[in-house]
Amino acid sequence: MSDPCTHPVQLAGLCAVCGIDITSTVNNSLHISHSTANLTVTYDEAKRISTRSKHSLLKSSKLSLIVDLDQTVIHATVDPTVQSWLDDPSLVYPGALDDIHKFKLDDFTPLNQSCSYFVKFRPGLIDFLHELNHLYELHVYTMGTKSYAAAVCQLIDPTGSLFSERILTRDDSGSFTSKSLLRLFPTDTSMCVIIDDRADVWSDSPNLVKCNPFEFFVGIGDINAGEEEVHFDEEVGEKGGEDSDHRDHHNLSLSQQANQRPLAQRQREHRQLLSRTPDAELPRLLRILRQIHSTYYTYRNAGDDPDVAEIIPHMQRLVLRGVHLLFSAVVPLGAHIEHSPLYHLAVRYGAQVHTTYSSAITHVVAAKKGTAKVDEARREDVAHVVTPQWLIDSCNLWECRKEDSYYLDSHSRPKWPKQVQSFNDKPTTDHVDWDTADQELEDFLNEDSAEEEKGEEVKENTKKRSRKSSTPPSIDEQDLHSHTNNQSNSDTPKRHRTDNTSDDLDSLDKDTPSDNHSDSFDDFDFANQLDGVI
Amino acid sequence: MDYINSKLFADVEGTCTGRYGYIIAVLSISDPGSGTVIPGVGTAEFVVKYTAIVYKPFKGEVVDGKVANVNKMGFFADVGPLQVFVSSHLIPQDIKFDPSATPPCFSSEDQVIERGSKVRLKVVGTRVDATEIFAIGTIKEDYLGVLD
Repeated sequence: MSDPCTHPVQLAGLCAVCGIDITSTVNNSLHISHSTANLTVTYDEAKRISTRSKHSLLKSSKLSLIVDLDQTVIHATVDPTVQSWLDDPSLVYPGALDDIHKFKLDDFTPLNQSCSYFVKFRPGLIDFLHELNHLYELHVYTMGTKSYAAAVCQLIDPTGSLFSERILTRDDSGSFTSKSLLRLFPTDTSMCVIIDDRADVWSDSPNLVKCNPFEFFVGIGDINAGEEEVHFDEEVGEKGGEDSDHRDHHNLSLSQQANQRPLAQRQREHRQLLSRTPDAELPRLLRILRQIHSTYYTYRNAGDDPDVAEIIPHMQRLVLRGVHLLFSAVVPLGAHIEHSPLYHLAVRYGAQVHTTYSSAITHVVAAKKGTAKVDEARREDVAHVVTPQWLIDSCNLWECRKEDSYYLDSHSRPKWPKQVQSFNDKPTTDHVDWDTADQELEDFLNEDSAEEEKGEEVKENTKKRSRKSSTPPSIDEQDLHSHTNNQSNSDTPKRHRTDNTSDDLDSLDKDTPSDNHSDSFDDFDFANQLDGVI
Repeated sequence: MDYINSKLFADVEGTCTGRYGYIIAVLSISDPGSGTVIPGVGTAEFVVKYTAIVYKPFKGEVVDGKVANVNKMGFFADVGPLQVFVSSHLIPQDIKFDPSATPPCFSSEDQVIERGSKVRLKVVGTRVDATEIFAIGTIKEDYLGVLD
């Protein structure tokens, strides 16, 4: 070898190319493989490998999907009470025991006895994964141990056709409390989507599609959770102690669960044991993931280099687009609203948060009755007065929820509710004809005709808007106009690129198959731009 | 005496020392004689000499192994107790990684390296830790690669 070796790959201090001990000379420490923890690569090598895998992904029109196990696709427990149900199915409601699988693991039992695990698949799991397998390269990233993950994957995917060997566990990741995309994709995360029930462990990564936790065995929680969970919408991660402490703590809680049999205890108390709520989370996720995939490849085919980390936040911003929120009794007195988790949630999902009541408000999110803001809203009777749960559920489900079941009390339903939902619910057929989109947009900008269906209050408000928007066109508007011209030529593959990425996103969304969400993409920017103008 | 023997078997067989490599099997044990009691503790210490089969890989050695794990960066092969890593850099160019195969494999027109394949490889470097040995192998030379 004439060139000196750059030691691109190293195994525990040994260069994997030239075989020289390089412990003292080179310090490269990027882990990229799933399993072997002491195999590291240099940044350049990681880049080379990721470019190569990107090519192979693009060739098969796939993205990477990182799947969490516990409470996302399965729910597991070690409570032996489940065994008694399996022996006598009449103890629980019919159908409850479908898709419950059992396996034994020998590790982490302090008393050297093997521990039986009972695993319930989330409804529709197998179809979900096989469907996704066409669109995504599936990876498993779990906080469980290696043997646990292997056993669960053996159940889900006995042939290895889904996950193959792409299984990353806490034994390999080196952390008990957090997960990181960079562990698997240190150089390029633009093609990775994550599905997980916890956002905190991912430090709110923009690549994450958070789902609702799957809790089938009520009260069991996540058997592999690092620490006790703080359940708020975006949980706050607890910093753990040393790893060994963790393992002990974990063993303890597992054996506690096996010995104390929390399910049997609930059974005695005649409380709910198994969740009966039909769980439609996976079909919903499938819809979202399909859409991310199609959006990504629409851009890609248009010659762009899109990033999933931009597509997902963009889709999230569409959820509460057009919603004007006012918080009441949610943020403690004296605290900055910007520090409130609900505020961040609302903003991330595209809502406008106001601090005082005005006629623009569509929703008052109130934690209790009788506050000044609630009373004010009630006098005007146009805004929905809802509980914070409405906001949380809307964000969790990626859809502006119907307010019906979230009203603060029976009087909270406004007499003349504003029609924010028209953005999302109404099939906007008039926007499908893109040839006329140009014309329509101009109409929209000049007259705000799209908002005509709104109530009296809104009309007044609209007039104000249109007055303002008829002032000399600002840069934003000009931008918008040039942008629409591009939209009408959406057949041409290469498009004018504006600096604003969300603009780009919009124009490309025209090509996506019309879906609930993609239908609503096109309006989004107008609303935003208009707000900028006002 | 029996106790000392079984204790020795349990303690050293299957372990790895930096100096001698892997201790595979203890063959014979010399008479440990009478031990010395350690003052203050009450345990006794015996100096035992034994002969054993050991295995220590050397650079340049050609060995046969069984593939244990394949990933995009290369593959690991078990050579007895030793695990040798063969990086994709040290695999001939025509053998390419195929991530979509199940299980994942390196394949060319006439060779497939997947979990369970038997391969002949040459050790290009070792690093000996106090309790572990790491080794790098290559199959990018003549007469190395998959064994039929």
